[in-house]
Amino acid sequence: MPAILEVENLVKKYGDFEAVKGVSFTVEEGEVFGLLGPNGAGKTQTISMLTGVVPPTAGTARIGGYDIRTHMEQVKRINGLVPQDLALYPTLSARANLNFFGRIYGLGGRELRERVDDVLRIVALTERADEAVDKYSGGMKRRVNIAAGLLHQPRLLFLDEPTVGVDPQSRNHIFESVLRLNRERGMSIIYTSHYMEEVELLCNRVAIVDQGRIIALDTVKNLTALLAGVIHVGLRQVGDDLLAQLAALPAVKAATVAPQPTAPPPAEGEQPREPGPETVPGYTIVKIEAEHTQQALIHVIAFLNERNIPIASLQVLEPNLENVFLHLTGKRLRE
Amino acid sequence: MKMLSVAWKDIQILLKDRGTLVLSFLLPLVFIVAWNLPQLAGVSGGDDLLPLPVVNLGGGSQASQEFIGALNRAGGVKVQEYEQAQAQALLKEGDIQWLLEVPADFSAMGLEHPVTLRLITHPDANQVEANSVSMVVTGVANGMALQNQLLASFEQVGAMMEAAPEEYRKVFNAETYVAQARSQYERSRTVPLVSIEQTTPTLEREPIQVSGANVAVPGFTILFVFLTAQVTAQSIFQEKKVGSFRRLLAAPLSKASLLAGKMLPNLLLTLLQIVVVFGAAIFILPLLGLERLTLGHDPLALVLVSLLVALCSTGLGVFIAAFAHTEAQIGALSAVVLWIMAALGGSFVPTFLMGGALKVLSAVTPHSWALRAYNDLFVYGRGLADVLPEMAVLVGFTAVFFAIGLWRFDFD
Repeated sequence: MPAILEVENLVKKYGDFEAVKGVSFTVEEGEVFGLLGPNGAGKTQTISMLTGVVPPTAGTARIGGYDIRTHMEQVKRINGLVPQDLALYPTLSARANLNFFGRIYGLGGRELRERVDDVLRIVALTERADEAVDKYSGGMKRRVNIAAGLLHQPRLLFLDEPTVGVDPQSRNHIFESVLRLNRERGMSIIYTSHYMEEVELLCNRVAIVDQGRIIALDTVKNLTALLAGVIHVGLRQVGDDLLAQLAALPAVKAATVAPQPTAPPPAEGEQPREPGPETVPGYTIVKIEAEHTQQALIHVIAFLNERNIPIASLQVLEPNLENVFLHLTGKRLRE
Repeated sequence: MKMLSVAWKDIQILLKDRGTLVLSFLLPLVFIVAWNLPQLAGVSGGDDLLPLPVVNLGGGSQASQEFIGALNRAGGVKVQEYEQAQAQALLKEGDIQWLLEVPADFSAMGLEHPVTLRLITHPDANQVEANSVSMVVTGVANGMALQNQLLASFEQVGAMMEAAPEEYRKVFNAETYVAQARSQYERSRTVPLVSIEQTTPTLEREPIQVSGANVAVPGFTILFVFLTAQVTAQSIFQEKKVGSFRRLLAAPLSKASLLAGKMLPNLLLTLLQIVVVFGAAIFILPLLGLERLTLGHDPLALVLVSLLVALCSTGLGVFIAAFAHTEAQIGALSAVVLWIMAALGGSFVPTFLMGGALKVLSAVTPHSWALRAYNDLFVYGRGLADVLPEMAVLVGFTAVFFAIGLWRFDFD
């Protein structure tokens, strides 16, 4: 199937600060594509450029065959955006909000009424559609926020952190809606989040974003396979000799120094924080890539015990996206 | 069409904002009524005669009664008679501003017996009015004194004729002279030797309609119309704050349509403000006993000036929104720009009462030019051709506000 979205070296700068540093990826028609990364990674900026909220500094993209730099009017008709902020008018009812947004997309009359009823059914808010939005719970507001993005039946829907601050029930409802939209209506979806569980559950492929760059892009299965047989060992003195000896152990593929976990930068006014619990000051994390995790673990521990090399920390990384991110960046998704 | 959708959405939000509606429509009416209320305190029995409390110590003497009657006929004053003790008590309390005492020997007024009227004025009395009363009393007193002097003169002549031959005394005696003089005085009241004819020439224009309403109503209307600029600025800020601005930027809606849609409700609101306030000044003020607003004789000029004022207010709202990035900044900027401009522009004190630098500064405000236009129409009864200069200046202000506002507007 042809790609619905093709991004080529998209860049966004604000003065000297580069928020997006040349990202490239494609999204196939009918795919649910995840953008996973911590806050400030550049996910929302990327979406903002693709949806026409801000112009790109460099690079371009094609959506439905239309270039965003020259045919943004057409692109906006193909796109649907569910922004991270609740983009609703609180004193108006859900129905009034949806009527307004529908008219902005050129809907009117009976078609508008039917579309509004349809999206209210999708997000299960038909009974309370005529109440003012400011009387809704946070989860209900999020659902209306999603409904507004679906009115014009977009081919490509951007969902930017749609479950932030949402209760579990509403969260599950959102997941179900996303899956139903994709499976039943063939809608292509770009889903951004810093919650790996959501991305693992919903997305066919995931791009891991950090500091304005895509550092990995593949299916969830292939990404987590990066971690198949990864052991992190904290040791005091690590030299090339030791690494070579560890790499020569049975069931071990390679032994290298891992990206050292760093403490997240402190917020303004905060004291600097310590790195995560897997580190001990003065020790270096060694990454052992194993052919067979259990066997490699036995051999590594035996080797180190024989040489009286104290083990400061030991972690077998579960194959999930959180640990993939940690493996690739040395940071956690949620700091 | 989409611009109208944006506008209709903002109108729906505005209709739910009761606070703004009250401020926009009710407050101007309250200001106008409160400003004009002193008129009611000054009106007495539908006429404008100054009250003249009189204590007639001469009692029922013919001379004192004639004097009091002459005061009432003189015009400008209305005599109110009191007993001495009562009048002095009222004067002491300040319930009356002045008091005229007619002496007990008033009837003995003559060449050998001058009398003195006492006009006692309260220290807090309006001096202009007190002087007017004094002039009326003096005029009437002098007239009466002259009458008495002449009659006394004829009596003296009569006494001299007593010594004249019999045949002369039969014809020329004091009674004849006095009777003749009295009939002349009576005749002078109905057929005066000198009369004053007061006429008013026909003007090529309508006469000036200076009234409290014609001056105060436009001033306060312009104040509140321009205060509505803050509503526009707040509306734009709220759109950004709730995040809907972002969604609208991602929609197939041009920035021009988006902004135009945001501005249209303010334009309609300000036009409606003008209609409601002027309408209330025409129909409701008279019901409260106050002067009504007169709208002049050129409805086209009135509509065009009002439209320009509304546009200018809208432009100012965009201007404020472009510079203020937080709600607090909108409030602060609005307070400084809108209230100071209103004060300088003549919304509270007419610019013709300002002097020197203030008068010069007032010309830098759209308020003063709007007020000049309304004054030309309402007070001087002028037409479209006469208000074109003011309209041109308002167009200039509007263009500057929009140009700078749109240039600085941050869509991000």
